[in-house]
Amino acid sequence: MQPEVYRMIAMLFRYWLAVLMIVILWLAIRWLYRERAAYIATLRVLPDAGLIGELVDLETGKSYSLPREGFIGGKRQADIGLKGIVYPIHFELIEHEGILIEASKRLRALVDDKPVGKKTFAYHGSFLEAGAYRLRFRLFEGVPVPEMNPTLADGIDEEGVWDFPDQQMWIVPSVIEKGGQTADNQLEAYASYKETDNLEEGFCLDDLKNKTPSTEPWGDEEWTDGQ
Amino acid sequence: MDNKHKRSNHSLVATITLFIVSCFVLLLLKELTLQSVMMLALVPGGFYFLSTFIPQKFSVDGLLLTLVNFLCCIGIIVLYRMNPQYGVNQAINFLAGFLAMILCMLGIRYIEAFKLFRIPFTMACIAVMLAPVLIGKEIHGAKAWLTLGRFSVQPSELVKVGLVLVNGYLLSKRKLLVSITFSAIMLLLLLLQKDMGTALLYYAVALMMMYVSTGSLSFFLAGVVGATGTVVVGYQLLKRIGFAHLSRRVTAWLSPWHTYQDEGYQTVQSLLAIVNGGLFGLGLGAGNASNIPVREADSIFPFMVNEFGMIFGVCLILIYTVIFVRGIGIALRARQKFFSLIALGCSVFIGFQVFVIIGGNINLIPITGVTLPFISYGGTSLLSSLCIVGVLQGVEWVNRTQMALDARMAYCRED
Repeated sequence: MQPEVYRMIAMLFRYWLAVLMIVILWLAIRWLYRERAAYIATLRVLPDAGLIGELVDLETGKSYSLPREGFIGGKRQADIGLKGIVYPIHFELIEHEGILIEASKRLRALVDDKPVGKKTFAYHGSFLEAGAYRLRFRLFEGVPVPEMNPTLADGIDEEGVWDFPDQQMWIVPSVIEKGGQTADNQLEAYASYKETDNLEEGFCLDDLKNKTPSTEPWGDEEWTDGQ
Repeated sequence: MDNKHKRSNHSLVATITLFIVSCFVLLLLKELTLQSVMMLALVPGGFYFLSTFIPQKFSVDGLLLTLVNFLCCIGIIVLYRMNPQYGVNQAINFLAGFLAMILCMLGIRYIEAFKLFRIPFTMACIAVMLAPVLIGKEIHGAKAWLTLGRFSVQPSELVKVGLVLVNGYLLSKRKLLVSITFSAIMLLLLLLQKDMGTALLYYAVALMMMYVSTGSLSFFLAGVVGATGTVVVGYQLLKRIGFAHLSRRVTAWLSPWHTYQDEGYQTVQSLLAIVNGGLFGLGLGAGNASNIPVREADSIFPFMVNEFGMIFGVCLILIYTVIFVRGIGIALRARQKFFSLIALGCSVFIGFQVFVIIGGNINLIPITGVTLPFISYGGTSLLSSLCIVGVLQGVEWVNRTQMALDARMAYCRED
């Protein structure tokens, strides 16, 4: 093709390519925003997303949401802030093994009465002692870790804090009031949890979206009414 | 994902395919050869196949994959227009890089193996970076290349993923001092290679990762001030200690028009090319930017703007921004610090590299010699950029798996 003819065709094509480029950019930004909106909508019906349970302070009854991985310490950057913990404790969920606990020997932390070593794992119901704190792990149903700490007896535990059914406890309600309840209230609330197996095998996200979120941690009859 | 969402995703892939077909039809009209016909058939088809098949087979981020493939195809188009052999080579490099991306993505799923072999891996990164200092080839003033037969490899490009992985691991375990030591060793080796552009990238990524992991603004500001001070003080020393090519670049940046026949030639030609292109460009294959030095690598952006126009240039920058934002989103959604940090590092690598190269082309900052990710000619550059995207895709796979577990734990069933 002659250069002059080609140049004319190229100059006509440039507008077409510019339009296509703008459309591509617009579609890409739209895709980005739609996926972000879908993610935010998913988080609204999965408020516990990213959490695997909670860590309960047995002295005060205060509970701390437990992420998959983090640090327990006294500094501002800690995921679970406990004043007085000078050397941070690292915890990480290792699927099918447990919650790996790593801590400096200077802290003298204990997991189920055993010093924290190189490969120390915590499970649902495990105790963690560090400094002046005595904490207990409470994991959601479905977290891929081995079952209860095999050192605990079936049924009633030695602390009498709550009764353990054979299975792990059901999902904790999405609203947990932190620091607003006394230890007695917490114990009462935990005791009202009953094992129930009459939940349907599963229900879709739309069902969750239609539920009105409860402002009372334990007030929703559906969650506590187990037969 | 509902059908409406799927359709709009498919619209993006279809529009991009149309863009690539249009470009190759134009190039075919310019020069009708068997090679150009094959490129017209293979490149759009390959793009469409990779952008639709891979998301179905693997749980990857479709938007990120589509945009990265699009940028790679733009690179093939522009390089083919410059020299058909460049385009063919880039297409082959893209296929190899794509495989490497898939491997990196799958590798993230077995990241525990990396944690076991982290020390040998770190030693290997240092050894690979040391090799050019000892036996490397000097190109454009930097001794950053290794010649392996007829191939040249730039180790600092390949070690980018290593820097991110090692720093991510160390910072997730709160070993800040060890991370600083490792990063300092990397920077020292780059200094010995006289590759200041890549050193700037490494510094920025390491600093950002450390800032995010510590949350300390004072640390970050100290890093920025320290780097600025080093550059200002170091500039006076550059000429005396064998970094003459760098001082020339700074001179060209400060007064390109006064030195347009010498140090400032590349900058002036780049600026003229951008201006000559106007809003819509002169047309693919009809541009007048052949005088720009190293236009297939460092100055590919002004070349593209000359032919496609400033609207195209701005859209290209915004597409890079979308990729960067997507990467940051992947980092924010990660549940574990290690994955969050490596996703952040990879995103900053892409974003900062684009800023450095385009900033150099428009004389915002001195030209540094880094390449435009996914587009510039260069097998090592394309390979490392695609590996970085592979790491991002791997982290996104982990995010989606964990979100699915959250939904299962909440007794939700997907339709």
